[in-house]
Amino acid sequence: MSKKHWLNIGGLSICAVATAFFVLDIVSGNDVPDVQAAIADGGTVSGVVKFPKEYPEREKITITKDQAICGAFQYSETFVVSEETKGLKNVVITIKGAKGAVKAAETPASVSQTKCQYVPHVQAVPLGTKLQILNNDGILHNVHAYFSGLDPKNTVFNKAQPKFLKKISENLDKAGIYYFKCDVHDHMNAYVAVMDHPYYAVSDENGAFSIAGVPPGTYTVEAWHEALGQLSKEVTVKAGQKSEVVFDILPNE
Amino acid sequence: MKNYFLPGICVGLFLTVSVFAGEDKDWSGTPQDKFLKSEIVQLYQCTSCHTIANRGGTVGPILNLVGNRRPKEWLQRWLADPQEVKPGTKMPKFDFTDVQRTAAVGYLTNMKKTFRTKEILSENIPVVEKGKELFEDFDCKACHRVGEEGRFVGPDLTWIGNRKTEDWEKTWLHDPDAFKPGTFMPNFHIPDKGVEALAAFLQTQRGQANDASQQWEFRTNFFLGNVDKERGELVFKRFGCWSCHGESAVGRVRNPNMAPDEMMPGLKQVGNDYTQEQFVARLKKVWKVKALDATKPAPPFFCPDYGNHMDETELNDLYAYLKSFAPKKSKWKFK
Repeated sequence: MSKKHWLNIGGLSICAVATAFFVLDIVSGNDVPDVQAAIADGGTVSGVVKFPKEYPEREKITITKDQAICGAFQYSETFVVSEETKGLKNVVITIKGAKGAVKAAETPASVSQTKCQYVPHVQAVPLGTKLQILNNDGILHNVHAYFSGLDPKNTVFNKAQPKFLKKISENLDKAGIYYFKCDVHDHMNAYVAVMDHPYYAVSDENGAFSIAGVPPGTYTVEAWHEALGQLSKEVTVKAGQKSEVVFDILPNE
Repeated sequence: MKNYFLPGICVGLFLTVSVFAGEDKDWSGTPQDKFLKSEIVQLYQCTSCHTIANRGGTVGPILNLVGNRRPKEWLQRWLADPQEVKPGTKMPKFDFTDVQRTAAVGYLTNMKKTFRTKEILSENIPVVEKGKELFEDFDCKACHRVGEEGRFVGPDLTWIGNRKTEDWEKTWLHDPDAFKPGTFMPNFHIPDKGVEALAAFLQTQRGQANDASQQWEFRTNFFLGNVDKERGELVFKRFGCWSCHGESAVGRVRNPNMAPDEMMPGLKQVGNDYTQEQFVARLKKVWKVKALDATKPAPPFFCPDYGNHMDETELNDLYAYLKSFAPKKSKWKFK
């Protein structure tokens, strides 16, 4: 009985430490600083990516390894949909062809491995930004990075992050989508979109996005989602005005 | 809906028994045991993916006889940068110090035994039986699956007799690197009689190892839940589809003299090109492979009528897995 008691306390402490790290991540400015070169007479492109009334449920994944840290199951992050707005999280939105110089973020972007999940699941960073990869779990993870698609030949790097190695740094030096996967824990994956222009956003919990300071003109807005692929729409931006773009997702019949 | 409770219990019991059966061997004091208890393994958690002695994961090869198949220099290179040796490998690069790497290589090269090749070949038993003993002796299951045993590092051999000729096996086993330069398969320097026995044994592997473990369908359901796609991936590996169509069905495996470009096709478009019914029907026929040059030897690889060997669930799961590569036809789409 007393043994169990101590196990519980141990478990709670581990959780507390993990949570502390998680909170620290957020406080220490994990969010990529806003580097979008705001143009004084620019316009804003905002909108939403959304499902109709029906939307997919989050897939439940059974975990078979390191359950003390990873838990017995996790929910897939492929389709994270707001019950209220039906908006889809984690869609990368870019405005193609708008002229603007990319500026690397001064503070590094980061992705953490926390309770056998990459946090955040999807992010977009300007080209040239350093990426810190954190291991908050105290177990072995490996960070297997692919560029444009999960295929062994697309491997960019594959680095071990043993339990004692809390942080590694990498340069993502090509514009496009990097895919991160842990081979030790098959369910863990994340995406980092590297941008060679300043006009992009990632949709939030409500499926909403907003890109400010876009020079006036007519552009193609592209949405990218890990499972749905790409969709383009045309948008006209006027100085000082807001242009709405809605990306609808429909049943594939 | 099927009731998986009883089979589940059976599987549980079966697994418990297998685990204990595996622990029968006393590893204490062996080089494998020393490595398992070494600071390197403790610190870097090699057992997350590799089995050492009787402990560890199933992602990478079983390391117990690694000293027999990899020379010291190879291990040095491998541990320094696995991607250099095998681009795309799941083995990550560890930042070992030179001292740690040399120590690890020391442990690994010591993990070996004396093969019983001569003894086995002189036994008075059928050639297939000799091959079977050699297969165990060389620890082929460290990398290859047969039925429920082994690892998914090299191709699954459960159905090998259906998809390769005996002559091909001989050529391959004699010197894998001569047939496919840069291959990950080591050269075991097997004498001719041994190669013949192994090839004869491999020819007999036509799925019966699966039949022997009757719980296969239940076990996959039991562990993975009803996730068709994930079960389909296991089917893809178990039937050896990946040895020709590539890991994750990407294709690009060479089939000499096959039209039009000597390359096996990837299967990522199956979900777009076939309905489930068409796919199942097509898989029940042998796929004929066209030769590029009729005067040269026929292409060594062909696709057998797997559809007649898989049950309905396996076929449907396989289709679900291949379809998962074709996002265009997913349940949802952008407007």
